Amino acid sequence: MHQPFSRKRPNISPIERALTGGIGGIVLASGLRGGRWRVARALLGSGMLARAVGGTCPVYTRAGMGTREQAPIAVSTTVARPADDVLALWGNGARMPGFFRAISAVEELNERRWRWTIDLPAGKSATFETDVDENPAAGTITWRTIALPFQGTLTLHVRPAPGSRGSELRLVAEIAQEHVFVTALGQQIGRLALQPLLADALARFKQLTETGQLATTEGQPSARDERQRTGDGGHAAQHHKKDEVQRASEESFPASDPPSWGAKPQGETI
Amino acid sequence: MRALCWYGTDDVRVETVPDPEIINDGDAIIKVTSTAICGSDLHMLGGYIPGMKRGDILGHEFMGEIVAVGKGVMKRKVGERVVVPFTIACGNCFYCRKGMWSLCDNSNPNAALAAAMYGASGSGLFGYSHIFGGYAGGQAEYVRVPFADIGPMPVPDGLSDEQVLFLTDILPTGYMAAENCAIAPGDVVAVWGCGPVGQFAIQSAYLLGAERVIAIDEVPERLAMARELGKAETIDFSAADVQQALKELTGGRGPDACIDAVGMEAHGHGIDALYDQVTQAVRLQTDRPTALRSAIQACRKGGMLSIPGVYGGAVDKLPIGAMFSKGLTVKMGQTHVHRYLAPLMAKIAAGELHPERIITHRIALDDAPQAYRTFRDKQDGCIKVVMHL
Repeated sequence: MHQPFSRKRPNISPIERALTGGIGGIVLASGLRGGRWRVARALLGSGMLARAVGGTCPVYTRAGMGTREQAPIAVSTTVARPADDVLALWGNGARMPGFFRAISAVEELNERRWRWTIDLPAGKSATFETDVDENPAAGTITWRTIALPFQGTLTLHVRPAPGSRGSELRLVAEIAQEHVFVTALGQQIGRLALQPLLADALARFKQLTETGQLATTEGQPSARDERQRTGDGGHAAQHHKKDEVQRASEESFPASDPPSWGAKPQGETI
Repeated sequence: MRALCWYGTDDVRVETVPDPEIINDGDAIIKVTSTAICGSDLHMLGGYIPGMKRGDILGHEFMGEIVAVGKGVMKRKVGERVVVPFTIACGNCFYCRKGMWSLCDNSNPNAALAAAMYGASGSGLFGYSHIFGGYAGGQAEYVRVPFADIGPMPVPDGLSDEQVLFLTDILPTGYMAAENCAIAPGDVVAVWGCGPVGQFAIQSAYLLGAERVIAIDEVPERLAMARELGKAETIDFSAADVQQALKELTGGRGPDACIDAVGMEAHGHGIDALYDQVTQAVRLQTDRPTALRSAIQACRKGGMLSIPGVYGGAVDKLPIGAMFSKGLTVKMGQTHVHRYLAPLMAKIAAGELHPERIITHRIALDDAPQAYRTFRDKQDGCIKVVMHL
């Protein structure tokens, strides 16, 4: 879990310490060589070196922030379904492409192992394998990459939500590598790139679980649309050609029966 | 098909665009028979709503006949004549099940955009920017309606389009604005803005038991409608000091409840109105809260402040000290239209409400661009424009 930053603990990440130390050394050396503002440059370089060696930044401390203690890459949502249902739906890797947009194919190799193909920029793709660890008692499912330079895990934590709200979901991605510098770099990149993807996936999982469909406006008309315009003729009753993966995924998510406008929800006053 | 499309600030055009299609199994296609221009459509004409794209189809007040349904639609049938709530709701999430339909978790495909602006996303809306989903609107010959089992409501044969069209937005909006006032016997309700929502808020306040309703505007025909249709007392803010007048009309207390049916494009004549015009023009604030400030200032101690007028971003100089000092209760938000469809339809059928009486202009779709300008500029006595297709 994310820990509060204290005055006594280092609050600068290994990457930032290395960069600060390197730049500080250059600035100090330039100051020692002389020229205008040499004292200032030497002091600045010394300060940066001290910051790198000590690992503590007084400005970060004052602001209550830091770069060393990384909050996990995590997103949360609440789904109006019991925890058992959520775990069963999430634990089936075949459904993953429905809510992770980047996954283009998935293959079940055995009871625990799955092979994934993901789309990358510039028309590239990548394939990797994961093991899955399910722990229904703890309310977790962890997908763990194997045979990659990074050890990556994606864990869904599920617990009952209060009242009639269903289940609280927390999706946590962790990236680890033996070298702490690489791990820190991976976390930083992962945070920027991964967090929006996880949020999107969790939102789509929620939609599919609660409604059985993904809200979309793809394929609807506008004056930007270059499709052949049909003039003022009849309506188009045919189905928009939806992505096959999306349609298969939607059909695998049965939604509960909605109440519609005729229902009398709690708190209705007229 | 023909549709009214947004091309930029002060630029809307009727264009030929592709027909809508069934995309999700829960969709229906509606052949529009009647549609209206809403006051909040003018916010997009004015360029005040972010997230619009050139070519978007406008319109969120529409009704018509179902001409196609997806295979997942169980309750609605082809051939039914329906009114369609402007808020799109899934019917299954926590908020829908609590009757807070306009806060639906699942109907905005661009929820991340709205969450970045507001902390969380409300429901998707027809024809109201990509922040609210980018759904094509209903000022068109056909509309795709998602979650067709949840929103569209059949209309009995005996009721005309003009009687029920405003169930899609402004009638429930005015009603919810009054309901949010928790009106008690003897209460005096003041309504800022005598546009369509204000007119329905006035009528709804009486339906809910208000002793007196005071309407505030400066447009003569709107004040006249408030008096004649709504039976309200009126204050012309261009000719009177609103604060002073409300004090005098309420024995020095101030109104028990105040309704801001104006929203982000308020007009006024004081220093604060000038300040709002300037700061909005230079984007130091996105909305002009001139009417809202007036309502806050006027409301009695412990009173209710209800805000059906649309606000989209941030306002400056909001007198939160007055709100705190007087212990005001504030309720606002997009209307939970689904909640009100059946009960308000019943009131119309029973002759308790006559929404069609606010219509001042009936036009064809091709005349919509000019009608937008007429409505915006309050020319020709324009209060409500309806298009019959």
